[in-house]
Parts: sequence; structure tokens; C-alpha cells
Amino acid sequence: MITVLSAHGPVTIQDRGWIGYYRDGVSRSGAMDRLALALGNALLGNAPDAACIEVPLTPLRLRFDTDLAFAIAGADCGATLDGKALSPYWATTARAGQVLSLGKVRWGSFAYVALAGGIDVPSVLGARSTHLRGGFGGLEGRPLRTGDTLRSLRSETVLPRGGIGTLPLPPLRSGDDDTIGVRVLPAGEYELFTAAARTMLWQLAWPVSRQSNRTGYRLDGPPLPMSTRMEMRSHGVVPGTIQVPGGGPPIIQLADAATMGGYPKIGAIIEADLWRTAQVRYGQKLKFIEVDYAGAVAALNELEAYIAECTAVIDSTRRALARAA
Amino acid sequence: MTAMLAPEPLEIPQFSLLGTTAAIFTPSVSFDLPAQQRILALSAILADWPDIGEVVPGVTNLMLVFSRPPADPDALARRLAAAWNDTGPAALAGRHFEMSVVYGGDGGPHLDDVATHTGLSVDDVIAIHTAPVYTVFAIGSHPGYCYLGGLDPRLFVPRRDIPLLSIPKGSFSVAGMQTGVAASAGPSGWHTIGLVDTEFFDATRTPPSLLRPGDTIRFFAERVIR
Amino acid sequence: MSKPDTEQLDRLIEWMREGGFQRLTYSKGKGKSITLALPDTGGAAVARPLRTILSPGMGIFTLRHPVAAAPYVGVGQKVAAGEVVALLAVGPVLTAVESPCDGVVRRVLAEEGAVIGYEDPLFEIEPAGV
Repeated sequence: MITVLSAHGPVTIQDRGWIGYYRDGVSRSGAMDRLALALGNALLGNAPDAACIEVPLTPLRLRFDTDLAFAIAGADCGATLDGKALSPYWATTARAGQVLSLGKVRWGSFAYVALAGGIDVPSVLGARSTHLRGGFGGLEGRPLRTGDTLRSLRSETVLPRGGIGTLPLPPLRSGDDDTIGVRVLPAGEYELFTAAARTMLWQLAWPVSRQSNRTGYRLDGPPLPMSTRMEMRSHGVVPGTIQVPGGGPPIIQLADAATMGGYPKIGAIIEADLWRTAQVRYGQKLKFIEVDYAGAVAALNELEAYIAECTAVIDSTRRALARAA
Repeated sequence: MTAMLAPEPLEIPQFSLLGTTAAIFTPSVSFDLPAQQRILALSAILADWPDIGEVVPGVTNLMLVFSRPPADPDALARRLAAAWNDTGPAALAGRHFEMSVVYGGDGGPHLDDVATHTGLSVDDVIAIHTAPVYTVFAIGSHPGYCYLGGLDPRLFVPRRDIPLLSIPKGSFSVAGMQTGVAASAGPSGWHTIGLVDTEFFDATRTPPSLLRPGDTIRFFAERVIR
Repeated sequence: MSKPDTEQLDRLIEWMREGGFQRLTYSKGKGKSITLALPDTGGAAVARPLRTILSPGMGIFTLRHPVAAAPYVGVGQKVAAGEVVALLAVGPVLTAVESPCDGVVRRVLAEEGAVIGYEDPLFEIEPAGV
């Protein structure tokens, strides 16, 4: 069991999100960085979709009220356990009374805290994620507050002495350190944008504006004009969709995005790079890299293979320990 | 005004991808009930196709959310086009609802804008808005939100270029050729003209949304705040 | 005034070495204190036995986390019991090598990037004195 000593901003419980409820208008939601969710869970031997705590770029302090195995994943946020530094993407066992502190972010936007077995909150429509707009799921459909207590589905898990971790995947650098590349497939209305607009899409480094959150990231930059003005009928939207409302700069729809929209779409960030997109923060820029469908599928397969490899090695390490014990 | 609000131009591709996550099917049809009946009939067939996790009807279009990326999207596009050609409008088996609306005031901040834009009086806007029996074309955007067909063309107004950060739950809005009611508070790019007091979504219910495509609704003006 | 007894001094030096003491301060009231310091002679000359950290498992030895600016430890650095001093990498998975005791790192016995087997020697630690 853990107690929230202090939390700021929208700290929420997230798992993989809702599957099969787009027809009810329920966004997929779930973790913004699904790689971090998968690896945080893998480090603890959890089911891959177990619920974790998602921590946006803000300080958080949690106290362990019982001995408990936990993992941190995602953003490198200067995590400490009773003041002792933890490596990023690391699992270890806390003793009752110890305090986990996430504070100074060195890289990324979203950190994740996974607990042995996953966070024990009710499953709503098949998921333990938090739907902020709908006010359901996770912990009472709301962000965590000081004083909240959370239970985990297990208390311990076999971990090597000193813990276990994974190598963080690098962002795709494009240009300077603050420009992150993400791969994009052109979308339905791509050809209806002017040639100049399409050129700008690929060539510019797009700063992420302050108006960026789980629903979407607004980008700063020039408008992307279309060859013809159009009113589109409302149609489905999935995370990664890059919309261009009213010929303005692009908006990237993300985890909590509305399931339908009527704005023209110039492209979609591939599923495999959504985690990279999520970890870009205000002050950094996105560079869109064009790929084709085959390239996008290959990237997704590569990401899934990486997760599978980590999971296999972690599991065999833990099994060997369990046998030796 | 009519140039901006013409039916979908032929240049929008009938089949397009959203990354490896989904495909959008946008046939070139009018915005009317027979078109939506065809869409809903087609969506029932597609649910069993391989690689399709969920079929999501939109307003005279469909989104196919993949369970995993199909090996050959071009083949899927061809198969989909063929199925569409073979699908006629099926009669919708829906339920009928009657709902009351409070027009204008804080719940309908854009009622006057719509009146100005259409050149109609506020009373005429309300009379025209409450006259039809609306059909639920699609559910989406946020949990329980309904996209309704049947809006009188005299009330067509373009979307607002700058969306409002938040409109309250129950907001009844119009934009383009569409109208719908917000099931929870949130941002909107549409013109909000009134407030409806009904629970459109309950996460503990199966299915969680009150409405389904094919249902019908008649609205009546409980009150007008000027 | 007579010369100090060198035999006593020899015994004092031997006693300090056996006990692993670097410095000895004797004090008897204000103004009456003396400090004796042994020169720092490194590994072999120190009487207290070094502890060798053996590898807890298999993997590629690394002194630094991939995203860390600096290595965990260097020679001469103090470590605490349970502190991570190095990592072993098996593919993308990392396990930690911990110091078994408080002390000072005296030698790094494995090379950065070397393939390490179970119980291979990795570090020599001079345990902290009592």
C-alpha cells in the first residue's frame, strides 16, 4: 500500500486504455507512453496492461506503507528512494516507511510508477485507466491528491538484489538535442493541402506549445493552408492524428483525444512513435519524418520485439533467482 | 455560404489510413438518412472481417480500428469498396426519445450568433430546430455524444475557427450540417444554442451510452432565455 | 629531556596497521594532544584485508548507467553498504552490483564492456574501520 504525500497536476492511474468503446465515444486514453507502461510492468513481472501511476512533468512524493516492489519508467525525473538516487527504468523493493520522490526532470514529460501486480482499482468498461472528461475509471475518475492511498494487487515479486532495469530507448534525434524526430504517414486530406504546406510539414521543426496535454499537443508555427476550403463531416480520430483546423498550425491528437472530429488531417504519427511524441515537452520541437505503411508496420514490429526481448530476459533472470532461493 | 458547405468533394480519397492504427472510409454521398443507413448496414458486416477490432460509424463515413495492422491495406480498400457497392440502405431498428431543451442564456451562448448568421429571428431558429425528428447517425467525440441527422438546411453555419475551451454537459450545438448534444463538459468548435437535461452516458451500464445509431429524438423548447 | 622510546613507537605503528587505522589522535585535556598519521600506502600495505566484490550474475560489465553522466564509482571513492557500484547488462536488461559493506573502492578488477560470469571478481573494497 502507498500513500500520496504530495502530488501536483494531473497525476492519474493509467493502463493500456479502452479497447472496443470508440462506438460509445470513449477515447482510448491509457498511458501516454505505452513503452514505459510495458517495461515498467515487465520489470515487476506484471501483466503487460497492469495499471500504473502516470506522472506528468511535476514533483510527486509517495510513501510506502508496506514493503513493496515497484518500478519507475518513462521520463528521467531524478527519482530517489529515501534520498538515494534511482536509475531511470528501474525496479527495486521499498521497505515500509520509505519515500519515493520524483522531482527534477532531466528528460521527458511523463514518468510512470508501477507497483507489484499493478494498481488495485476497479476495472471500468474493461480498463483501469482514468477518463478525465467522463469522470470515471482509475481512482474515482480523477487525478491523485495528497492523502490518497493506493493498493497493489501483489506486495512482492522476485527481484535481484539491487534491483533490475532496462536500457531506455533513445529518442530519434533530428538536428539539435531539442528536436525530436517522429515518423508520420500522410493522412486522408494530405493531397488537398498546398504544396507549400506539405513542404513546411516535413521541413520545419515544430515547437510544442504550452497548450499541450493528454488530449493533444498544439504546435507553434505557420498555418498550413489547403487548396480548397472544406467542411468535413465528423469522422473517427485515433491518437497520433495530426489535424489542421481552419488552415492554422497543426494539432496532434493524443491519448484523451475526442474519438471524432471534423478537421482535415494532414498526417498521422505512427503508433510506434507515440511514446516518443508523448515525451517531448514544451520548449522542444518535433520534426516529422515521412514513412510509408510498410515502414510504419516495421517500426511497430521492432518496438514490440524490443518489449518482448526485455520481458524474456527479465523473466528468465527472475526465474533463475526464484530457483536459487 | 453554399460553396463552403457543398457535399464532400470528390478529391477526398474513399479509403485512407491513420497510421497503422485505423482506416477511414469516406464514400462520396449526400448527407442524408439513406446514406447513413447504408453506412450502418455496412458496419454490421465489417465487424467480422480479419484484423478489424472495431467498426466506428461516423457521419456518412466509417472508421475501422485495426486489431493489428493488415498485411495488405490496398486489398482491404478494394474489398471494402466492393462490399459498399453491394450494400443498400437497411431500415434502422431504433428507439424513440423525447427531450426538453432550455434555449439561450448561459447554456446557449451562440443562439444570437446563429440567428444573425442565418438571418432568422431567435424564435424562428428555435422553431426550425425543434421541428424535425432527428436520427442518431453516430456516437462519438466524447462518451455518449450523439451526432444527429435531420437538421434543417436553414440552420447550417460553419464551425467556429477558434473552439471554446469548455461548454457544459448537455450543450446542444450546431455546425456545418450537423447538430448534437454534449454528454459532458469539454471544448467545442460548434455553436451552442441550448441545454438538454438528460444522462447520455453511464460507465456502469452495458452499453454505457444511452443512444445508438438509428435511434430517433424529438426535442421541445421547455424555456427560452433571452 | 630524554628521547621518546622508539620501541614504543614501533609497537604503536604495528597496532595501528593491525587495526586498519590511518590516524590516531591522543588527547588529554586542553593543549595536550598528539596526532599520529600513517602514510597512505594503498592496497598491499594496509593491514585490514580487502573485500572482493564477486559478480552476482552474468552480463556485460559497465561502470556507468547508459544515461548517466558519470560512472557509479571510481578508485578512492567511498561507498555505503548496498550502494550500486556497477551494472551487468544482458541484452537490454540491467542488474546491479552492490557493495557488501561501507568502505573505499581500492581497485576495479573488471574492464568496462567485459563479459562477466557468475562470481567473477569485480572490485576490491577496503572496508571502513570500526
